[in-house]
Amino acid sequence: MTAHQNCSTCGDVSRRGFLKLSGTGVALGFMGASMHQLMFMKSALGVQPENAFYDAFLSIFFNGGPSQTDTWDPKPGTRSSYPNFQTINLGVNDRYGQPVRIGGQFANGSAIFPQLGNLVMNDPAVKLGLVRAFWHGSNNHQTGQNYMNGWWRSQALVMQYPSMASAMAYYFQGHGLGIPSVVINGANGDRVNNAGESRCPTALQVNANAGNNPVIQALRRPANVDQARYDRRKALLDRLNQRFLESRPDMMVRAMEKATEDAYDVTSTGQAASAFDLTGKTILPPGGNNAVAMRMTLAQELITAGIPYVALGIGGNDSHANNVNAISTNWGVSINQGLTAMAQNLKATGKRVLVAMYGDFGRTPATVNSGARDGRDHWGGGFSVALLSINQPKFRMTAIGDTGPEGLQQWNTGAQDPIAPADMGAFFYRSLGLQIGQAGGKFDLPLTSRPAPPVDRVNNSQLLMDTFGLV
Amino acid sequence: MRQVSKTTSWLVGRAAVVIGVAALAAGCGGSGGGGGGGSASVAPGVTGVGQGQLVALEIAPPGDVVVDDGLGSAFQVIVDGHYRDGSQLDLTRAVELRVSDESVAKIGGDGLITPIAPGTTELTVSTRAVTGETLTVTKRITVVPAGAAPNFASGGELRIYPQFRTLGEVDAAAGRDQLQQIVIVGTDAGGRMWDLTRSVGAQVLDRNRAPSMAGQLSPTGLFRGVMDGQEVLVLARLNAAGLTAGAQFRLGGGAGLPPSALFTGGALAGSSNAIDRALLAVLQGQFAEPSALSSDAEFLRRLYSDALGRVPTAQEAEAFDANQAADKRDAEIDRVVATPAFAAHWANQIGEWLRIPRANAGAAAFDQWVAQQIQAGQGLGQIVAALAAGTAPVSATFDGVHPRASDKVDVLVMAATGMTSDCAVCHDHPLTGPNDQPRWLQSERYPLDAFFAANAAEATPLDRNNNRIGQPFQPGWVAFAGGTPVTSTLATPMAQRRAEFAQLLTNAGQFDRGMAHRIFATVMQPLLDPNQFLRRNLDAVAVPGLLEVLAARFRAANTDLRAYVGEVFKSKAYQLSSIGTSTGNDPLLARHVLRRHHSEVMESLVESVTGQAIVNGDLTFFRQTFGYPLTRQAIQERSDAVNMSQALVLMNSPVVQNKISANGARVATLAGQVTSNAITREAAVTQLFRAALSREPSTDELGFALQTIQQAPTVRAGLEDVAAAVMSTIEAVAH
Repeated sequence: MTAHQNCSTCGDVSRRGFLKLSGTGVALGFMGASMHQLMFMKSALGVQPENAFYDAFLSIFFNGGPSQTDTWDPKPGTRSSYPNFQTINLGVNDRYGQPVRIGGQFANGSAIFPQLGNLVMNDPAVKLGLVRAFWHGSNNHQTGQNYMNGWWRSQALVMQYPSMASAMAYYFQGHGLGIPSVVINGANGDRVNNAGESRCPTALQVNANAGNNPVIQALRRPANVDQARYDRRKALLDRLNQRFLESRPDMMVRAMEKATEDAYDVTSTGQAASAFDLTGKTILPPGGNNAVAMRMTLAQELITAGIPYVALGIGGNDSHANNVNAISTNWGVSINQGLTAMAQNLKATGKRVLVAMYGDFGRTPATVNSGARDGRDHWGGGFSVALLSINQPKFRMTAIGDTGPEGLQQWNTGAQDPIAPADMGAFFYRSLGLQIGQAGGKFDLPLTSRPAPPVDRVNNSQLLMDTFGLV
Repeated sequence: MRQVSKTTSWLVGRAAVVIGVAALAAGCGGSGGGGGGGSASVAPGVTGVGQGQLVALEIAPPGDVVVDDGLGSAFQVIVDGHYRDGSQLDLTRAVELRVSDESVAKIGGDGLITPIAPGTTELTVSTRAVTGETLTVTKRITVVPAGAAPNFASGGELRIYPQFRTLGEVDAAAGRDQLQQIVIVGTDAGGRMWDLTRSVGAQVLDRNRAPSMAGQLSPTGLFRGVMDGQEVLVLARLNAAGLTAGAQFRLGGGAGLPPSALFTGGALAGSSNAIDRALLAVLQGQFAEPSALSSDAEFLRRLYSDALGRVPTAQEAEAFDANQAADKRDAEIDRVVATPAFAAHWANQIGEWLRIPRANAGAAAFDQWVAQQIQAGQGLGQIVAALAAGTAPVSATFDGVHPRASDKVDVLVMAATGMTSDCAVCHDHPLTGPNDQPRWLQSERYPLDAFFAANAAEATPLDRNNNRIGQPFQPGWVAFAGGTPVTSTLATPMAQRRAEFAQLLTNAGQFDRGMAHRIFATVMQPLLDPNQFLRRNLDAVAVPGLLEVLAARFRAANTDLRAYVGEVFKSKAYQLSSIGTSTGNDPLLARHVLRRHHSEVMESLVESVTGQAIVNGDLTFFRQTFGYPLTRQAIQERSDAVNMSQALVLMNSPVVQNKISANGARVATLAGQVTSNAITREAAVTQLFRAALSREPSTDELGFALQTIQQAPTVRAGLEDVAAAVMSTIEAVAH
């Protein structure tokens, strides 16, 4: 059982908000059938985002917890940074009037962000935003992953709230290819919205690395079943369902009907299956059979095809040792090269895409360089979330949050503009046009047997919306 | 039965009525204070009312009228005429209405009393009968200064006057419809009557509780019947107080129309099952008729999925269908809960509640031990007590998964009582209110930790920064029953402390309530969140009293899972059909509410239809898709959400489809039998329906299926199509 640390139990909950939801939950039959009824009716209908700033969202989860000091929040000249660590000045100021810098290269020449830095400095359609005093207070992998997937800091209730992928699966039904949300698993990324923990029961989970992927197979008609035969099956299914639909008023019935129709449509058009098939498509750098590159390429293809939410994982970030190597590989190659190329490709589609990069937590500002160990340890007290905005002219390239010159050496004290999971999640949802939790908003709904976290989404996210110009 | 006399009036108690010399016809009692008699007093075939001699007048509601002089305040009364033929007629607008002192109150021709100033006056109603006699009735009216609003929060009653009434013949062609003034009266907790006619919501419904076109109700409470030969229910609700009242009107005699009661209780009526009785009382108060009993097929599938975690096989379904014994459902329940499969299925559930991770090396043995205890008739109280005390053979696993004192307290409290103690690890629970017991203050929580504390630190509260603060707590039961003496101290040997905790927990009323409800919620629908037993949530349970009944039955069964859940299964409430026209009464458990089958039931569905089990990697994928709790690391890991992935898997995935089309699978076997004329196509389709839906196809369904086979290139392909379709139906997926 995971440790209970630093009062992560109740999280950043407002009493009024929680009581309101509790009351609502009771009236709806919290976890009960009547709540299902309301939820499934709404989920069956899907919702229409309002005032969306982006058409799609890509979550890149750095499994293990990447260092912020070597990437988005360098502290050159301090004991937090490596000697002769070079940074890139992006030419813009942060919220406090100081230049925004990102990691450039290590003393040994290993590159971190030169290509990405060049892109965001010179291409107005691609901009970088940094949240540098993000915190949730947990140094536990599973806890951190739960917080950073559900955007809610509450250990006791961690299984109660759905992951963002699940939320997207509900809210974006009917959009794009008919597949609203995809989580790309992999050997290193399977903690992202891990379906095994059933916090992501509703998003399509696919492993780009595995042959005969059962998820992709399920997007196609069964073998030896042509469209005519598939249509006959569907016709019989519709007739058999008719009596049930006429005699049962349950929302579950409506939801299953909708799910069946969507599945039939997705299968019959074949577009979804094509989007998932990487055969003949150019793999992003570093190319070849690189697992991360394949996952990122798949994410690019799915977003291009119209899927509004995609999540993927990049592992190998738990750098208690070999920190430089981890940064150089994951950030210096996958992001610096792969994401840079992806951003240019997505820019060409014209779609407005928001990419978010983060891990379970950050890593200690101070390095551990004794002996052969080159590492940083877990750090949930002040780390970074990076945003890459594509094709959104309103987005302001800047940074918010300051953990001080040494990178916040004490837990949860001294940071300027600390941002908690609920703030970030609210920002993401609002960027996509989902006014969750807003007074009078349509989307203040529970999901499945798990409700949306009872937080005042608007107030928690406004600082971020204002900072990054999304008004 | 009331005696009736002409011309004489006197007060009976504080009510003023007129009684005449002629006795009213039978039916003058009844439950309607102002409208007794109802349809029973009208001879069949009589098409009109108010026939013959008017013999008496009566003012409803009974009792003095007390009305305050606030702005907009008023009180509606109605005047009933009683006739020699036993009928009653609304004469409110046809009689003379006078108040003795109009400086106190006035009355309109519609019977609406308007207060003027505090004081007392007398209302006199009079009319001349056909015999020339003057019939008179009086009522005292008291106007009081405007004061407190009616208090229904602490209790009360809502009634409609008249409650039963047969109105005259409606003849639309002749422009003759029937009018009836009603008055909706709320009697609050203090015993005072309030006229709510113009302030509560009221509907005119037909027998099926759907809006009726046969009558209309004005905002002033004037009912107008417009369709002859119909019955309507006027239903009024005071939602804020959860009070409901009903009145039944019959429009015209209508030859051949049988009288109906406002509430029959349907399938629950007459049941001796405690759960049924509790539910029936609530439904009766809400005039909400329960659905009919489920069909045998629906019952069997539901029972097997809840008891065994699988669908019935085609053979089991056929055998049950063929069984004509009157008690076959109870017999099947008894048989099923006695099986090892029942114990194994529920042991898995209990492992989920106690958060024993599947990946743990001892998880399988843990489940096996729990199953053995269930099979041996050990109660859940004994099972939980052994784990809490650390004396179970699998205690090493339990303790290893929950190593710290706080871990043990959290998992046991949550699973057993439905309460969340976790918050109080770092601070007083921020969300409980003054009526919560416990409030989960740290001072309530840490005495529980002290029973398991390996050292003083573990019994010392943490602050929000994970620092121990203050002094360690001694073991105590203040959280649940503050006055309960505890013998243990921190110096007491751990085993002894744990044993004491185990006894306290499993003998607590919260244990009975939490466990009973958790089990009930698993097989029916939750009355509230099984993990959030806050006072606020408890008070909002739509079926008051049922939670206490469940707890009592659980304790009466000595916490024996088989006995208790068997009683739930045997209740008519559990066996209600899911058929319905609206979800409005679902919180009252008036019908069985559907959810998606759990993952293991879906697995069995595939195996039942195809004859082949899902195994290995395919099984993991399937379980991920259908929300199986693969890790058991949280009590709410299991999901019964519906989504497109599930439809895709059923309709397309090789995990399922390959089993439909495999050589040697059920479909191939059936196809071979059809081709060789061993069985007919109809029989093959029937077998697929039994395997998937536990029933035979209807004539239409059989026709559709045969048509599908006909359109296929081969019989086998056609049967594969039928199997694929039947397995993907909503009925197959729905619990």
